[in-house]
Amino acid sequence: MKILVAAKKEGWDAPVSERFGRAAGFSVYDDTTGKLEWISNEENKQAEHGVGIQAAQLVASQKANLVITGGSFGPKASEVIQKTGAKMIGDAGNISVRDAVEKYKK
Amino acid sequence: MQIAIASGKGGTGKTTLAVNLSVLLAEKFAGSRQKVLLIDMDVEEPNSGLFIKGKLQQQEVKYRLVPEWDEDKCTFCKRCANVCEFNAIAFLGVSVLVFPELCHSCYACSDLCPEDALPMVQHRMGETKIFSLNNHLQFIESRLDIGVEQATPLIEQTRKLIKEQYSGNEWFTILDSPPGTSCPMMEAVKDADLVILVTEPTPFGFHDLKLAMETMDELEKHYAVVINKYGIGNDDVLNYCNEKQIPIIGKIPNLRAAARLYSAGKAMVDAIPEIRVEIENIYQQILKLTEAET
Repeated sequence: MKILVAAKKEGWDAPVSERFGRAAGFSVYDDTTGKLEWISNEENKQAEHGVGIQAAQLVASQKANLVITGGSFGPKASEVIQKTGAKMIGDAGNISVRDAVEKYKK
Repeated sequence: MQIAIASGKGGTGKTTLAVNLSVLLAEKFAGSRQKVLLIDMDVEEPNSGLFIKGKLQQQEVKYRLVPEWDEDKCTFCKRCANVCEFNAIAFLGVSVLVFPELCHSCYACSDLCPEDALPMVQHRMGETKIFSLNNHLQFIESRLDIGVEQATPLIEQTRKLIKEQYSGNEWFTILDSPPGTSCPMMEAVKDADLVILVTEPTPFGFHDLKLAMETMDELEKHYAVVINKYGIGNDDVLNYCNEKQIPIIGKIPNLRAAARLYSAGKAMVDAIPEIRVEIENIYQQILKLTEAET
């Protein structure tokens, strides 16, 4: 199982981002290895339009099963993520990446 | 002759000037072969039609072309998503999603797809209506559908319609442009012989007027300034234009009676003599400036 968490910084202790498309980056947790991989969103988040779509493509390319943000997903990001079949968890609140992964991994 | 009425700041009086100039000229042209064509190019929020009510003569649905994904042809090379400058294509490995609201109809994905899996198809964006008010005044309104984000394609089609059907020299064409200085405004003024920048004598009006002037310089457009709501604010616009030798071709006074007529959706030239004189003067100045040009 892979979990993609929108985060404000790299690492386990970083807070979850309340924004999805314009998050600083994404921490991807893989439960087969137990490792956390950081994918920066710095370049993409500067775009005027379609940042949610770009970010949501990561869900597909990373083959994530679960996507977490502290706030809500935009309409276009939602549409794309739904197509990938990943489960979306919004409003996770102001918690760390570690807590988010612990809370939502099965 | 084509005159575009534009501004940086919104709410300075583009529509007021466009409508009142049109009404005045239609009266002046009575008995001659000359005609006025007023076009509302502010397709996102056209409002000239609130002041100009004519008989609907023609109504046309407008389309633009956006790519449509053909699943059977796609080999999932991702080229389409890579070349899209506007993030309008989501590549999901096993499927491709197109977001028409983000698409700028640039054809890059469609033309560069090696499998021809993204043919361009028609997508409804709005409507263009042509009204006739009298023998000397026609009015065209283009209106985007609710939820459509790209204004420029509809403005471009409207501009081409005018070029194709109203280029005869009997037409005096007045364009009510969208506010701002971005693509919609630039597209609207493209064919104009003269651009009139309407401003108000306030710091905000002054600031955005300078942006609009820079835009006109960049487009190498011939332009002049009209100050609306003259009497409020300060003299910064006046002094700046004088210093830069930019012609101020009119000062429309700030009158309560004008605001009252505006709120009732009525033209001012027949009700307020001071404004009629000013609009008449603006017309004479336009003639002078465009004569000097040709």
